[in-house]
Amino acid sequence: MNHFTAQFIKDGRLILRELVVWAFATALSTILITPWVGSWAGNQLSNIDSVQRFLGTAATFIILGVIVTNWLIAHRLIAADNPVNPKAFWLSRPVGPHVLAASKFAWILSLAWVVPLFSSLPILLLSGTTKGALQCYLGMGVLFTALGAIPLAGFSLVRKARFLFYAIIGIFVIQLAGQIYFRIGSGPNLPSYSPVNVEQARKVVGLSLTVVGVFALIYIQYRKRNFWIGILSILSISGMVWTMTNKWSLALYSDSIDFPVPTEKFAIDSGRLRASSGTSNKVPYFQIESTMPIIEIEPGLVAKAHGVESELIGTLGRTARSFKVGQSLSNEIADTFELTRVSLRGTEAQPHGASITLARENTADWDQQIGQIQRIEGTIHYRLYRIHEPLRSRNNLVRHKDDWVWSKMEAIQPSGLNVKTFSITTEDRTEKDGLLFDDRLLVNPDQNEWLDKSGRNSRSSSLSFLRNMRTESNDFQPETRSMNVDGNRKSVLAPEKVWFEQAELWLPVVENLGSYRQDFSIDLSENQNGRWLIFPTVQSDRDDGSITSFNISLIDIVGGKTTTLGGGIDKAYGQWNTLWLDGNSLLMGTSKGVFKVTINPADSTIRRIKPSIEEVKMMLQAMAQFENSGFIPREFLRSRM
Amino acid sequence: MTINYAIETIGLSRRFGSTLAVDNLDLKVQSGSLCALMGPNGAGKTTLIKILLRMLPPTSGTASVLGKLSAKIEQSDFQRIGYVSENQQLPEGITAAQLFAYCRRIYRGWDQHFCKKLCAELDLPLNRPLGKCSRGQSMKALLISSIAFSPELLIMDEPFSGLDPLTREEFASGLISVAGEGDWSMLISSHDVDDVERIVDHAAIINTGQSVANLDLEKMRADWRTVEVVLPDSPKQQDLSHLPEKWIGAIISGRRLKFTDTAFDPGFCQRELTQRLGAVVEFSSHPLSLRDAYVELAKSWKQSDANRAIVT
Repeated sequence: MNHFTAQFIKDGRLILRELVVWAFATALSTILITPWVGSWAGNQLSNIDSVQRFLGTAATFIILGVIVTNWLIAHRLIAADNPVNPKAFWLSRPVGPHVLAASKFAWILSLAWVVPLFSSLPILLLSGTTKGALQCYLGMGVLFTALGAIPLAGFSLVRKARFLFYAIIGIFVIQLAGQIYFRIGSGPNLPSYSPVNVEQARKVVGLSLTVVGVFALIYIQYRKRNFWIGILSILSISGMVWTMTNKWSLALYSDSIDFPVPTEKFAIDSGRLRASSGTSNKVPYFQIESTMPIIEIEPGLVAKAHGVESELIGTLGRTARSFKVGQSLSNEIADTFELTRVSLRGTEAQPHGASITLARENTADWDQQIGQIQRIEGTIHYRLYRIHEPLRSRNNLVRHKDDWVWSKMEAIQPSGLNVKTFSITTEDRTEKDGLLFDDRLLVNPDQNEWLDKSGRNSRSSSLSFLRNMRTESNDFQPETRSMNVDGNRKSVLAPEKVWFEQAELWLPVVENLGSYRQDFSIDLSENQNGRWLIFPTVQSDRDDGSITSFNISLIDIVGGKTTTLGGGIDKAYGQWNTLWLDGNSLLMGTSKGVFKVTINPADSTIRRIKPSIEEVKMMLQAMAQFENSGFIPREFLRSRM
Repeated sequence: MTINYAIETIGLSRRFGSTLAVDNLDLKVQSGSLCALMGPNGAGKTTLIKILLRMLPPTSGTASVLGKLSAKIEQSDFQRIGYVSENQQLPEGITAAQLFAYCRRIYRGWDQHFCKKLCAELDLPLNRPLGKCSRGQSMKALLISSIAFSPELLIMDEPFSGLDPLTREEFASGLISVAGEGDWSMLISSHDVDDVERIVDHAAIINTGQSVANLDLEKMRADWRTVEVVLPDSPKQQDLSHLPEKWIGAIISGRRLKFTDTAFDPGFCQRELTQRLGAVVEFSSHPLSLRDAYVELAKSWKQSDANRAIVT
């Protein structure tokens, strides 16, 4: 038996009691949390809210329990054979430092990573977790190991000291007190608080450990007066703080799915750049958008961008602000909803594309760059979803006294699929003036963020309905009702609504296929369409929000000239739609009018002209067909020309 | 003939800031010798041992252990070196039996039979967690773990410290029983001179980091005597300054003079006394224990002219 085995056995005996606690915490975590972990969206711990809803506060304690147990074990293992303790037993024994280190790390890695991973694998595989999500799980495991065990082991390397143990307990108590405070303090009328707020937690822990680490360093330097230990301590603390506070981006994988999806189909449309402006934190910005068209792919596939990294490259050498991967684009949830909705319109209809902000600059910075920018380069990160057939369609709601009841809703998962999110759709068919209207109500219980937009408290049991009925202004009209999704009785506040009686239940399953990335490079100087940015702005003086006047600005990015064309319009609603006819002319339309705009490349001026009847018809058809999506695919134009 | 030294230091010094803990120390412990390292508190004994075991680097000079420079001692060399210290921490969370099982795996020369024999002799509870053992039991476990692999050199730093008399006796008896077994060397640092004297055959005495005496106990017992004489008149203090160098710790009490002769020869002693102090009325001599010798030496350090090396 070699020295490593001897040391490994001895270390195992040392942590025997802790192993019992560890086994309990890990088993709880594996059994209760792992099935939820499998639904990671790909680049972040996005589904922690799902765990929270299922386990409540218990999830917090289980996760903290695992982390703290790993901390304690790491500390105990290292401190028992402390490298700098002159009284250590090992110093006068024939066991090499490499044997000691190997044994300690073997235990720490086994307990903090390998064993939990492999015990979770069967559950993950049984629940249909994709290969990519497994890789992500591996990555997160490494991250959490780094967060927990390794920095503490580093601290323990410095000196065996009881105070460290109490410091760890102290951090745990502070965390616990914070959790309890927020749990009690956030009543039903207060904004909801997620107990495991990864973003906040790592700052708190990072800060706490920094303070402890600095005090430890001072203490050590008083006692040891050792330069290298001081340096190592500083590095250890710095590394830990960096680890704890860094915004990790784990876009680890690109799944190979069971059907070919050529990436060209997800390339952004470089010829259809748009510009828009807005204000963020009271600072005006200007941004360039485009559309990632998705054409000729399998029905039910949906792509959604969740991050763009881009640069505006020009003679000034400026770099535009881009969106980090994992940092939600502002309309991410709405996009998801829209894309899902479109796909539900029927198996033949395809999502047409996702609007993507390629680059954003403060207006002042942007103005300096006009006439300087020559190229936009970057990478789009997007996720691919597949919308499956409704699990159980046409399951009508039944009225029971004042309640509406789904007698029993069985969420039968397609074989082998891990249902990531699902939406419940009720369909209402009404006849008006001899025409059949389909109205849909959608509810997505897994997307709290979106639901919160309608003012719902995510911790209440009610669900929000977003009725797919558009008023004359084409705006969504959210209606809130109370409903229990899991097959029990639902209380509906407005039972007199006819559409609800006629509603049908749809249960589409949205399967997360994986994360992908797509590089893009748009040369503005050579791309005639890309060179011009049409920038419509509207004004509304009326209470109903209708548009009363508009301005269409043309920005010549390369030439550096901006011209504006303005005019009045009577009560238009919704967004502007743009249809490029060629490199120098386009149709722009609202619900109340269609204009044709032509560009004179020689002097970068624009001119509004009257479109032909055919062009107006074409534009109206496009707008009707693509429902104010803001993007009309080229195929439409090709089919008409 | 080449003499093999288990321990040898040449001009060894170690400084802590302004404090010189070990000062140009020359020390030799022959292979097979059982040597006591003695000296007052702060004499530099523990520092010396830490240097020998490469736990501390020397400021200057060299120290060799089993023929190897201490600075180059590797972890594998502890297959030949045992170390017992009052300050050493035993592994936590395991019992003595588990400790010995661990030692059995890491020491090539581990003698399980010898280990069991020692456990029985020292009455060590094998299944009690080491963290719950008394100090005496911990020291016994430490001793067994340090000698059951038959090291060539055993270094002990205050092994008797804090032990009750009974445990100390058991511990010392255990050491005595193993000291005679095998061909090994031992360096034992302790203030418990009586216990140490039963074990060792040599004693190295240091003070303020310097070597004061290196005694062969057998020779010391033969040569060292406490001499007590009664003179016709009270001698004067200045008369003592002319005494031979090997007479140390001279004390005058009326007409009585008491001193330690480190190279006792009755004839020479009486002749010298008569020559220097006149007629001797009474003359008596007694052999010294190591304790007596150490005390006499310690007294002599305090005399301004007595801080000198004595080698027998």
